[in-house]
Amino acid sequence: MAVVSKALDSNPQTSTVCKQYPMAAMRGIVRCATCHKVLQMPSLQRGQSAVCPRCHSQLHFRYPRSLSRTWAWLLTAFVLFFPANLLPVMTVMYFGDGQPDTIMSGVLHLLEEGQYPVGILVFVASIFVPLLKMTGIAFLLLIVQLQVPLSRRQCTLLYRFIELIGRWSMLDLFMISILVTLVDMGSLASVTAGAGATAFATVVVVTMFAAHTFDPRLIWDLRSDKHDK
Amino acid sequence: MSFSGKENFISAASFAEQASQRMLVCHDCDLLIPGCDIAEGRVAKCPRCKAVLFRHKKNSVNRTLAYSISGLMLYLPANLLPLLSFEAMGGHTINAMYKGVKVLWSQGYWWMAFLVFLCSMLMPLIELLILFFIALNLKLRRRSKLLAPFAKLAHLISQWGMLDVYLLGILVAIIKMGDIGDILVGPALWAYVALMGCSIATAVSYDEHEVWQYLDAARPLARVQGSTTGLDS
Repeated sequence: MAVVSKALDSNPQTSTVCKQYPMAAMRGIVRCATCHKVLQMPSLQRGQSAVCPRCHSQLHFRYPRSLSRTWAWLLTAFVLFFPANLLPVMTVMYFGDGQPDTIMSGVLHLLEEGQYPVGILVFVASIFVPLLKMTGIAFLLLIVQLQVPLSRRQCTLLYRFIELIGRWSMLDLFMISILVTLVDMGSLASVTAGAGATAFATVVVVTMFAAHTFDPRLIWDLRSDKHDK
Repeated sequence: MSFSGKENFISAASFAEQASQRMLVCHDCDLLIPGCDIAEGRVAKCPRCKAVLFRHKKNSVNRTLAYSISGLMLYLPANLLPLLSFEAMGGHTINAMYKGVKVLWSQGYWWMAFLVFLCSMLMPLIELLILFFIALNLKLRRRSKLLAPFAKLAHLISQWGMLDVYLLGILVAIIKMGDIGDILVGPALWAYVALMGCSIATAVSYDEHEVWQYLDAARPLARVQGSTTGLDS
């Protein structure tokens, strides 16, 4: 891997690097979030905002009101997580017989039938990942707000992981959309969606927004030099 | 030589611009890093938090063009042809990607129908079209006015095309219904898998960094917008 500067990277005392090359925001240098252009932030008066000359996005040192926005999305996701897991997501009717399935009972059915890999896959995508995302984001928010001196590099890794895995929770939603058309034989066999699926889909989208609005640079604004190389 | 105030301002400004152009800023930890050019096929990483700053992709324009054209050709068959068919007790039903959206909508789950439509049909198509347009512009050395907004849009929606997740959804659906009836694979599945491959390959070969460098306009300084009080003039 070609790192930007080999000399910087191989240096075991990265803390000296951080002193040599401080936070861009402290020098009044801003990076456009969309097109990555590096610019000198002009001095602004009240009601003014700076705009990137290349892509016309607004420039900010940090995402505006990142913490409150992320909390808002996170609380929404938390509230919706209950109907998503308690209400049925779909009903498989077979010869007029069948009962509504929640996400968890769907996973249990798969496991009972011996479909262990798929059962575990659905469990990870639909229950484990959303929970991990919500607790992970809450954890990051609390670290920033309470200024907990943890390893900033590991917190950044957690953030990257959360952002990466979010979209895979849509799996259940796509499966339902396939089954409602595929198994459509009137009274013989049919699949209908349930209210839980709507809540679940919203949880996935809202947690994706929460991950987007969290600004990982806030972690690095914490003064935890002692705990981090 | 005379230095008027205005000239001084411009030279100071261009100096600041030069200084900031040789700098990189890490998007994850805001570290200010002296910039450099990297060889083709290599990756620039932040020395502090190891975030990928940018990649210099090999032959990006040609590859993006090739993959996006193939993807666009596969798009209609993958979405309209039968994807799976289900047989049980003499009954026979067929599923296609667009039908899933239609049925959810008719069952009253419009929000789910909208999300499935967005993530599995609309976003992949928009992404392919936009990246095709951008690559074509770079290939023909054109500077369309739409280039910057489209590059911005491509950056925004990059996470929302979920063809790969949909494929897992198909797999789970097949296994879940396997004990009730027979599930047969339709012609769209092959088109679909190829479309997914092309869509991922397009996104991977698209070099955002190159496009923005190509677009770098003549107005280098950050512009000030939306003054409510008005500037002193």
